[in-house]
Amino acid sequence: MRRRPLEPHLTRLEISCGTPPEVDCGADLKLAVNVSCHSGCDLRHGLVRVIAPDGERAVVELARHDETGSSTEEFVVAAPQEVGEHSWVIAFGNADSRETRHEPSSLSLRFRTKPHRTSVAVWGAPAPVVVHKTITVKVGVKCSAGCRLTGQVVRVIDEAGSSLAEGRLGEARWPGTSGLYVAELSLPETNTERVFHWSGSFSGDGLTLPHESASSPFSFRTAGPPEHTVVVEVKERDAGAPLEGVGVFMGIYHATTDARGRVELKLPKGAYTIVARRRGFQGPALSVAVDGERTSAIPMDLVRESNPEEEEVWM
Amino acid sequence: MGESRRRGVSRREFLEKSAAVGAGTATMARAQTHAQTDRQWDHSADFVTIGAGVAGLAAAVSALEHRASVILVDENSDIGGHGMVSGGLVHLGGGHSKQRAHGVEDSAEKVFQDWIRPDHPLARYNDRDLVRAFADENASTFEWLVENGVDFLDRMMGPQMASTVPRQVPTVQWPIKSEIYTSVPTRRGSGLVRALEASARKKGARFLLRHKMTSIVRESAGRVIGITVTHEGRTLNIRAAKGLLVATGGHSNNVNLRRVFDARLTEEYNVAGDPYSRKSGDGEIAAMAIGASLWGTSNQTNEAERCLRKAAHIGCKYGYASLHWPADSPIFDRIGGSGLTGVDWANAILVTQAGRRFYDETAADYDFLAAAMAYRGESSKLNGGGPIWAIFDRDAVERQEWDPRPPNVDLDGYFFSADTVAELAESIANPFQLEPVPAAALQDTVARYNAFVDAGADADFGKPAPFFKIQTPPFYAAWSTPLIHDSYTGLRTNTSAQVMDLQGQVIPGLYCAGECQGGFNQHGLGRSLVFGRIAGRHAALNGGEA
Repeated sequence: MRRRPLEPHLTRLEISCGTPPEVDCGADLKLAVNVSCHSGCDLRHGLVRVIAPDGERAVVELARHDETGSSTEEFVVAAPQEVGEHSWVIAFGNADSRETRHEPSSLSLRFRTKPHRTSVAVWGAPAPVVVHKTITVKVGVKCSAGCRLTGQVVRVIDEAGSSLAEGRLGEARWPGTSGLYVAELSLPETNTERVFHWSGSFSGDGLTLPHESASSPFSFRTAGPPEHTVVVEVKERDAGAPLEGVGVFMGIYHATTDARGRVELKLPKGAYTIVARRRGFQGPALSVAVDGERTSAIPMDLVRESNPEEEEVWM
Repeated sequence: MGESRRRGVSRREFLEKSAAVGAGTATMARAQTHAQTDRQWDHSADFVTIGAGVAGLAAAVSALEHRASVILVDENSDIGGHGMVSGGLVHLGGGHSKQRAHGVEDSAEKVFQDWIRPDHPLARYNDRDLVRAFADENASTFEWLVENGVDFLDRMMGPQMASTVPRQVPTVQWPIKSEIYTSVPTRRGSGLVRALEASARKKGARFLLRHKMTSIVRESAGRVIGITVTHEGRTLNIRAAKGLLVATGGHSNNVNLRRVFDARLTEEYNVAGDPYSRKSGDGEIAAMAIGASLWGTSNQTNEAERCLRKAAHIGCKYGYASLHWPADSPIFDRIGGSGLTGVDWANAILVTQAGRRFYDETAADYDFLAAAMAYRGESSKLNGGGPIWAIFDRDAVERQEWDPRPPNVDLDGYFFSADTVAELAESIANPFQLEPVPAAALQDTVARYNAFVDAGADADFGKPAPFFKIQTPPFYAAWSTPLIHDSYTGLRTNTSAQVMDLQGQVIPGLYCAGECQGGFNQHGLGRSLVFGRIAGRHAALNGGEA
């Protein structure tokens, strides 16, 4: 008896866990594919192929089956390392048996790859910077995709766009951050007293994967060298006890009192207003003229505020 | 003397007048009335309170003392309402025993004169009939609270608000930890509501918790006779034979109703007391649906009370003033984060959802709040100012001695950290943040502010303390959007706490007290207690008639 030719079963392929339309270059694309048979066949052990124009990127077996069809586990394919538009094919085939033949099915996977975003932080300049003194600042760079940036070049740029200093990002991530790589740069000395507006800059050029450039403005103030030392001693007025942890501000100069309630500030001569600040205490500012060495500490008294929480009670 | 009593409106006259009214709210009222005859009552009492908060509890105790049976209905799973999480400052004077013990000279007349002062914005808009009734029962209400087991601290606070002598007496926080919801540091209102609850239960009150009022039932002839509620998916009818009290606690959490008074108050503004006390305005809405009038609405927007407040705890959803939710609160799963508290605004800047500063961060007045709610040039957001974010760095965290981790902060949309300022901007995602914070804008804002620190002066907003730069990683963004406090207007009542309609007529059987009562802008517990007590007594003795 002549055997009847097998009727092929139609199949349908769907991406059950897809990729966003835009991803970072080289990013891991997480995919999961479901293939369903028109007749409800169990297609486990059938193969799904991910095919890029330059070749096959993955071959994954259909591992599970339920009423929606047969599906792969979630799998990962690396996105191209180049920036651009991409169109890949995800194809199913090769699940025939002696009894059943299945039509292949496929669909296209379109996405864009973009350079990794980067961002910069600059910190650590003294306040103020003394004219004719070199200083160091820290320049940190973060890649949005978490790339290791060790050895990459960062620069400090002045207001005219000239590079003033450069350095390479270090090995370790900065403490407390998720992926900030840091370089410490020595900056050239300045010779005028003013506020400088410079920036930290990262080109992103030296990495295998494309990275966007980034910069972050920062400022610092320069001032003449400190000529005099002023000691301020802060007490709680009513108790007469020294107050620790009080921020004492004289213009741009500030320090925090020690256990004896004392701070020592080195600053140029001039007229200053002393402000002493600590939560829960208040007291008046004090005007002083610094024109020579003071032999005695400047006393400041703070009084305890009524309980701020009590003040805020409602009803 | 109450208005309707003064005008000599009898029940017969009222019914005749009601029948003659043919337009406006009265029409709406008739459309929503129900015939008593075709209704089956699931529960019945002489006096029913919608809400078991301060006003409802005071009214219940008062009605019980005058031999009325009482049911208290509350949609919450426990009693107390807004009072449960309040500071417990009972604003009562008139020369009561605690005042006398502390040498405070006061009288009913002095209370009255203080709270109608033309020179004080909290007093000048008040309904003087209501203030007179309030003043006359101040001292007796205080002694009555003591008789009913309310324990007060031995101190007098003030004078505050329009009062010219000390009149605020703090209650003692309820001592049973498992029966309170927040305790730190000053949440003493639990002592007031738990004591009144105990007194009410002892006198025979029935509490129907998790029962949500859905409508007020008014007879076609004009009298309010009960309510409908939902409970566990069922609709129930509760009869109030002598009186029904609306004591639902204000409307500040109802975006549509609060915007009746201030159109800026869009959905991004959270509310003090939420999520324990909902303040949904359902009492006012249900009463208006059967013809009730609002009253004294100028009090809601006079910018003299704490209707709006700058966030005191940041990086959390509910950051109102001294209402600090501890992580051990039984409802902390609904709170999300306690917040970073004790903010020294020298340590942070405040930015809009566009990443721009808008005002001196050290300010907290109504000009600051107006700036926080100002139009930002975004066509999709004409009203309200959108989220406000505090931006600061690691140095600020160290100065403040904060621990910026849960449960102190709410990572589900209210607190973010990042390695750079630009990355911080991109990380901010919140239901009310309509578009991402532009990274370049936030970076520019921080750099500009840092330059002000270098210069020693804030050229944009004159912040008096630009002491600290925001520069050291990591960086933080903490929700700091202003909050809405209480309602300062509500339903019109006469001096017996009977609700009145737009024609100035009493709606028989319907009372109102507490935050949903209009006409008298005195913050909080004092007026809730006095008018709750008046309402319960009047209903028990007069059966809801004028």
